[in-house]
Amino acid sequence: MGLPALSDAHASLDPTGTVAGQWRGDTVLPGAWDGFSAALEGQVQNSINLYLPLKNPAQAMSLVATLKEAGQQAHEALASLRTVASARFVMEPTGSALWVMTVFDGDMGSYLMDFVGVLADVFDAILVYIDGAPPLPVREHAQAYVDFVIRQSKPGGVHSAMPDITVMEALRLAGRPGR
Amino acid sequence: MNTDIDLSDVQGNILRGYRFPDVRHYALSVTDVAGGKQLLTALVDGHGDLYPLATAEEWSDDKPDACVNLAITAPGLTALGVPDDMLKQFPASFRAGAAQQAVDSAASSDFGRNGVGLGDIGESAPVNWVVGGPSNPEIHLLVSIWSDETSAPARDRIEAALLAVCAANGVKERSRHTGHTFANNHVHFGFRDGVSQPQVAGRPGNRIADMQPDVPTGDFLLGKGYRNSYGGNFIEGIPGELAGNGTYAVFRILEQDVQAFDALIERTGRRFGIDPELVAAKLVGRWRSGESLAMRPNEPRLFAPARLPDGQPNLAPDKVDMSKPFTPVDEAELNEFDYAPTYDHPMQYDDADGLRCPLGAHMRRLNPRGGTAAGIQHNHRIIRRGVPYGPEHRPGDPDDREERGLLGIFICGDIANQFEFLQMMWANDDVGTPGVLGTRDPIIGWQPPEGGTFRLPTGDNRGDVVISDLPRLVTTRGALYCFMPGIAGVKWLAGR
Ligand code: HEM
Repeated sequence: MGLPALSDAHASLDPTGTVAGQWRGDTVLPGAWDGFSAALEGQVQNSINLYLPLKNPAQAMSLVATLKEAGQQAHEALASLRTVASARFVMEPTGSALWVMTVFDGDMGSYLMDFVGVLADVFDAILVYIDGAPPLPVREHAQAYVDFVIRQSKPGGVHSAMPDITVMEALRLAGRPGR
Repeated sequence: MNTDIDLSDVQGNILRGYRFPDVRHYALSVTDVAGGKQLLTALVDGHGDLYPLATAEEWSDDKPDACVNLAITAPGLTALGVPDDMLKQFPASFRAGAAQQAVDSAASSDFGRNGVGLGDIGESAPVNWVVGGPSNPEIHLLVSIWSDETSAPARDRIEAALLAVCAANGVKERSRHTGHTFANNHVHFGFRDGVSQPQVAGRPGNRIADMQPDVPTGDFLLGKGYRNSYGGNFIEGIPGELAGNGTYAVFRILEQDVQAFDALIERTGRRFGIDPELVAAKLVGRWRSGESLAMRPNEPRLFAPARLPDGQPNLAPDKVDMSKPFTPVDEAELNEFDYAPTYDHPMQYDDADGLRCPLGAHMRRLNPRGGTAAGIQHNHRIIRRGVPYGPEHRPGDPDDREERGLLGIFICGDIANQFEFLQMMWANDDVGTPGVLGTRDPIIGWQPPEGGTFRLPTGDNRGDVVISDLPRLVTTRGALYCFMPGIAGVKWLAGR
């Protein structure tokens, strides 16, 4: 058997193992995928891989435009928390879903509310495009938002070259500890 | 954003403390809905000697001789006839309850959970609790009577009336928890407590000197258009009639090992050549007198000398050593400090390394103030209304084998974001803050069997003194997650 075609390779990376965009987040993940992790035991970084299926892939470019517009605000908001090591938005090539992937220090449940505090507007702007989105605005329905994020987060621990250095520690070492 | 609070609708002891030294908490179970509602009616309206629930209104003339409060657990709401679909609107933590949350938080090692969770494991596990655990009766209501020595007769009359109303309405008393604060608000381990409290926007009374900003009303009270630190309102889908001006109260019985605390500061002092009183202050973040290390890093201003001539720590103001000069504690400076310079207070000493107050000190972990901390600043605040139980123990007293500790009441608008966050993240985990990684709160944290770690930066050639034999000092003996409705909410529950 030769290498799969590029489109097949993409499909096999989709969490359902089927076709991108079919899965709606309510099916149980295959066990093998569940266990996938590059994280070290006890490392400070955790990750959220938030799978956000679009209501209509035809709106993908419009969502990308929204993200570009929110870019600076999102950047400042995430920086103010001093817990997020990296964050990225990745659109499925088919436009079927947006992945929001963040690497952060500490416990997910606890810090999700901080995201509400600083990023609610950005999430409101994104979630109007998303199938099965929680009630909006996020600020008024924070609990439903947190439940939604936990439900839509797909496992896949992150490898870190600095498993014991938090964002705050890194900033301190870089001589930029202040706010 | 509303900060205009109808004080007659908010229960007392939330926005402002009663400062009563005595408390009796009655853990009650309702056996039929109608009977439970009768008790609620008696509590809002008063009934014979039973005082009506105290409110946040200003006391007109004299301080009352006693005050009564009511808190309701999630099963309690059901027992009072709240339907399931309404109960479901309450946050998951509250509905799950203290015991379930203790188990669940420790079971999961996903998403950064460290297997300790709230710390209620081992001896502290819910199976060993005296109230709120799986082997205890289901508790529905927590009624509290607050009073002082002079009002003991009033308290006893209120108690008799309360228990009579309970008996007449099928409400069973399951346990009673009695606490008493020592002179000058001291608690076990020998510190003055209740010094720092959040100042809630819109609360009555004068502003206490404090470099921290007022806390948004919505961090403590639900509904009514208040805003919380996240820009929303924790009431979410709960009907305003039930939850408006309500809040949550976490009741926790925390046994304190005073012998272990005394031994720890003595042993550490000897080993590293540090005054044991300084070790004690470093663990907490304040001297026993309540003065902060941030303001008084070297010695307290001497409300009374820390040690008496016989070497015993001095807790009582009547034991002032007159041979040495002393000045009373400057009440105005107790909270007028920060751990870092800020835009509002640029001249503040920058204690980023914890040379004055260690980053791992109990009060700095649980409220980093303007110092650098992960997440939104000045967040996760909590109102503390705890009172000690058990006989007073003076440092150095022999072991009398009596149980003693704190009857903790932790008030907040959201249990998960405030109480549980503090207990789980900042006390028992906290990977975010430099300098505390791999350590836990020295006072309330869980500690591993081989002993926990505490870093005490000295700033001299000793560098960081590392204490690596911290015992677990506080054991959880019981806990309840309660909702404290506003006065209208209690009436609404009683009248449905
Ligand atoms: C037996 C258990 C405990 C003891 C002996 C204890 C003792 C103390 C003392 C002596 C202070 C300094 C006085 C003051 O600032 O008012 C303090 C402050 C504080 N404690 Fe505790 N505490 C206990 C449990 C807890 C728990 C369970 C929590 C929360 C989860 C907590 C949260 C706080 C907070 C937030 C402060 C104030 C920090 C600030 O605002 O600067 N404490 N505690």
